[in-house]
Amino acid sequence: MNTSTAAIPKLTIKVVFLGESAVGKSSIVLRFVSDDFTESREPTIGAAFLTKRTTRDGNTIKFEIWDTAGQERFAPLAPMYYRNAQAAVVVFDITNEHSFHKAEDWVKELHEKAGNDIVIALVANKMDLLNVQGTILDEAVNEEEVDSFCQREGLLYFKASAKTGENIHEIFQTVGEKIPYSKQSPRRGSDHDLTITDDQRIDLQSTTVEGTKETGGCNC
Amino acid sequence: MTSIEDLISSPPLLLHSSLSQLRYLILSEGLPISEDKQQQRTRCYVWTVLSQTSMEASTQRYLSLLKLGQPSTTIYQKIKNDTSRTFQTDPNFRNRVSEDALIRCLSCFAWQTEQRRQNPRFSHIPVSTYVQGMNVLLAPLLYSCPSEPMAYQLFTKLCYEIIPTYLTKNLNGAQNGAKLLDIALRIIDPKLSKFLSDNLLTAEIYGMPSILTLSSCNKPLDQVIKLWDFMFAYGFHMNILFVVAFLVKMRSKVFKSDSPVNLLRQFPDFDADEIIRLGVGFIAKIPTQIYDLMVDHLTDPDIYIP
Repeated sequence: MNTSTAAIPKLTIKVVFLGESAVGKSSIVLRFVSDDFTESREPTIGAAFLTKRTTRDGNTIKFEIWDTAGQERFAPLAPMYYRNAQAAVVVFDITNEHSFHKAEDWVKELHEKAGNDIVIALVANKMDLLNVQGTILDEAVNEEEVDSFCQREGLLYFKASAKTGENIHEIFQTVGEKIPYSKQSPRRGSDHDLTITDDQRIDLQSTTVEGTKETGGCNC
Repeated sequence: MTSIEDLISSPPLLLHSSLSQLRYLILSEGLPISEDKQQQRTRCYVWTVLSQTSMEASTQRYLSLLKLGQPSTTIYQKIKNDTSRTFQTDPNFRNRVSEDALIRCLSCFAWQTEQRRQNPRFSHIPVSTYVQGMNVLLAPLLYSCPSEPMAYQLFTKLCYEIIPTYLTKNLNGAQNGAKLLDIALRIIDPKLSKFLSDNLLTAEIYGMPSILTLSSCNKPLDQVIKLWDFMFAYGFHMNILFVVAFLVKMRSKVFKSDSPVNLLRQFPDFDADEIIRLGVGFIAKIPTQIYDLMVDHLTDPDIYIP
């Protein structure tokens, strides 16, 4: 077991992004990581990984973000990313009711399979579209329904827009505050858990992993 | 006229030997990348000949599928969700291929797939009506073919016959591809393979996009087209070895990086000739049994990978 590097308390938080295709997961991550936005992002295939450092009370917090693909065919890969995550951000598109129901499903799956400690934030993205005057959105999500869902499930809830940047930093800030320093060492679980330790190593605790941990030793 | 044009301009005397000759010409001379319409036409003909795709009545068939209109709302929504985001950052692509063309082809494919489902002959591998990734596979075809029906015909060949296991609802085929990528890398570059697995980076994490899209998610698109020239000639299983080549090309950067996972998120711009040269060189190192699995995993969902 390698739970090394425990000497310096620096908080590393692993966050996984989940949600229906095209709700703006990658855009939220991009806004947070590089304060950028582009209308035409290509759909994520599999998952993307990004990191961002921020500070809390003078301490460094490192976010390690797994941005997963939304379409259902990639759902079998999702457990590999959310197991051992300290936080999950479930995103839906405020103008698309179907995407909210998908979000409900993700929350349910997280409660069942990701363990009780995981912090879950629900994010209604694309709020900027609601603020356009005179637009009538037939498929817009009923916000009362969202509120009662969040209360029932004990979720953090944010109304955000990756496009305008509204509330994006608040998502990560609040999630960061919810995670105590003591929880930084990843929980060890079943096979195929994916964690990244402090020195940026992904630890996929899997039965297929073989050999020792040291690198080097030229084989070429 | 180039020797390739010369060869495909008349019917072959002996199919097999003419095909081998054409394959060899692709390897030795290659097709030029060009904006020229005639060149585009040649490329499409070559792909058609190599994959033995019949273009007979292709326009008629395409038109009759188009007449069916939009597929069901769920499918149509999924398609639209992705077409508006397909290669939008590539100005060359946007100039040549409209979003409407992508939507039309994918809609026709959804209809044809539903029709095929009624036929028990095709039921052994249930190719999906639409799944994410199809848009990225269709893009190079629309980009390279002079007409939409021809691109569509090649697309159906690719999906139904060449890589059906990659297009089922679950990801079994692509997951098998990832396993084979892990194995191939271990054989070809044990040091890099060990470094990645010590960092617990498996092919399932970094290789999925390139596997599932036959490398068409990598840039630039004109170099993707050249990789496809080669794969139409010698088989799309070569894609696994090309991904190994991508990795080997960037190995020194990977070793130095304090975050290999970030580095492997998007492969750097590549030169197809270099990737092909490397990939072909790897074949000799791959045991026959593994090589056969590479060939089979594209069409057989039930293979066992040791």
